[in-house]
Amino acid sequence: MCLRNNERFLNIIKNLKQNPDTAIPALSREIERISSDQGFQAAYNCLLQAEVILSIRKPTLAIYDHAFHFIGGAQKYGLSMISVLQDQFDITIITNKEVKHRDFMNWYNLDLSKCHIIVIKLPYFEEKNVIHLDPACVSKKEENPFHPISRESGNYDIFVNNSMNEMVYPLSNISVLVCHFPERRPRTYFYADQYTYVVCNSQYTTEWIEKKWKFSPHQHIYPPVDMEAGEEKILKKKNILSVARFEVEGTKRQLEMIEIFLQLKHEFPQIMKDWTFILAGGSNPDNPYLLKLRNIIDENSSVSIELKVNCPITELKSLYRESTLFWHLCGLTHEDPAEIEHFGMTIVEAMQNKMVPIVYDGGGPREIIDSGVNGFRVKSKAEVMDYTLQLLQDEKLIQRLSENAQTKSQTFSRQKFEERMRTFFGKLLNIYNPTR
Amino acid sequence: MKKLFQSVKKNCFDSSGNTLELEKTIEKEIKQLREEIDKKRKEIRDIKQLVNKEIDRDFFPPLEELSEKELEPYFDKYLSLLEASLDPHPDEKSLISHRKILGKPIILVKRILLRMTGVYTYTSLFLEKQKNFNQQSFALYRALLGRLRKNTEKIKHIEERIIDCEVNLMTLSKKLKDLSNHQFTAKDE
Repeated sequence: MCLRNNERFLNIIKNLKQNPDTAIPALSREIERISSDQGFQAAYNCLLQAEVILSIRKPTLAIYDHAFHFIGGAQKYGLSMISVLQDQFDITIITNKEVKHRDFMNWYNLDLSKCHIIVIKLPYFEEKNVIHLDPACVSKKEENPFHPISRESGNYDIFVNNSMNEMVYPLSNISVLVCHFPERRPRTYFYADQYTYVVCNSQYTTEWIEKKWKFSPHQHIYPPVDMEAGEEKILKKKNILSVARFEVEGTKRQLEMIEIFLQLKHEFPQIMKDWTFILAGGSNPDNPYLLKLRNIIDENSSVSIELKVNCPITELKSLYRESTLFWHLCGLTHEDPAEIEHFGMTIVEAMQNKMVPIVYDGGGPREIIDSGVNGFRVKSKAEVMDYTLQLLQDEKLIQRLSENAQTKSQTFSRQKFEERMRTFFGKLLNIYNPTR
Repeated sequence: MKKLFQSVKKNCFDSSGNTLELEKTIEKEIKQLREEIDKKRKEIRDIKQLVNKEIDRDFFPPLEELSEKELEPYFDKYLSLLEASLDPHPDEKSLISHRKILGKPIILVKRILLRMTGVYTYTSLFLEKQKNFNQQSFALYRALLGRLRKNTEKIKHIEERIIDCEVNLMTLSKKLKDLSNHQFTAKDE
């Protein structure tokens, strides 16, 4: 990995304007040599690089995600990344399903109007008529269904694969794999180690890339979090908030959180008086897990628990602003590393809004929360209850931790993310085009 | 390298009136080359051919590193593979020949040889013994896997009970603390 320039070819480009009579035929010969030694793609890539070096055109960048048609943290990461690169590059967004610029604006408040969108439908998944394209269901017996994307990647100077999908073989001069978590181990059609650079979102992901894929990623850039509260002072309500997608498998542990809240209400009615538990998050229609949660809440209608499913961003912002405590227990009683929070963007969103987070002690949240300083990390249900009661009985503790939480949240701001991305891609361009 | 490029760029772009024409020629040359290569590139369907190298590899999972969830499918996969190869006796159906015309007579000869050396000799006694051993080992594996699964289930139940105990303990200790605080306050008053 890491970009290696073809020095011989670069020398010819360098001579093109000084000695055109000898350099132009040399260029043709060199391209012919590269074609026969390394294949036509390598020759094509050299010509693409020549165009950028000679300022014939702007460098091109394509970003691919097989889930761009869904709202998600990983997708927000990739699109926020290109939103800061729009002036430097001619950018193309590659998707497998229809999605519009206005969707990105509505979902993430990102203006990507300078980017082109191209939809490449994959026959393998089209025949199955599925909305979610799952690379895990592809076996060795089948032809790699993602090869149309691999082929498309060869048309750009830089190709960024933002999806949790290692089955796209990169053909571009520079390729970047943004890894949000190495869900699968190397198996059929594994090409993650073929990318020139691998970028990841947390130390936790770095550790697991090293364990599962046996190499170290090149760059670690935390996701952008931009849920900052405005300047106006808002009176906090007695709310405990949870913001997480309602996964069908229940990996975000909403059921356990409801059980904890019910137990707290039952055992400590005086302390818990007036406190409400609000669970917000996205869900697909006909989600059996969500139905189960609704039933439990209905059975305990005297306890104030509210579900906010797919609520608009304005409502979510108000919930963040007005709530006091934040629970995030993804990973509790799980052993599989993929089922533990890889980073935890909603935790940082809560911290930006001066909430005190109580989170599961594992995965990405360990990098966010310093237990006892800006929140609490817990290993068990009992610890969640214990820390919650401590906080509810000590207003000064809430005040101190919430202020610290807001300070710590600045580490993960959008501004920091943008700076890091600009620097990273700036370095890539400097290597790619030594005349910059 | 960077300095060299910058000086080249400066000389070429700023000095003479012919620069613009030269630039156009170079641009045209590169464009033409690119179109030619692109055409050839598009004619190739196989990515391996496009990059002149093998791109697919075989990977063997490090079984000792796998999580319980990752291990589970392997139990079933390897048990069924073991089951399929319990009987070590040579199978006549597995006899093949790659020769087009001579293939059939060769297979016939192979079959005769197999029957003569396989079925009617002492080898079959050893193979029978091996078959018994395989079947018993396989049965043992299955039994051990059954026990492993039951124990895993038991551990899960025990863990759930521990969680309940922890919660109860925490609740009791909290209530006890509140009660003793309350008593002290009452005494003070």
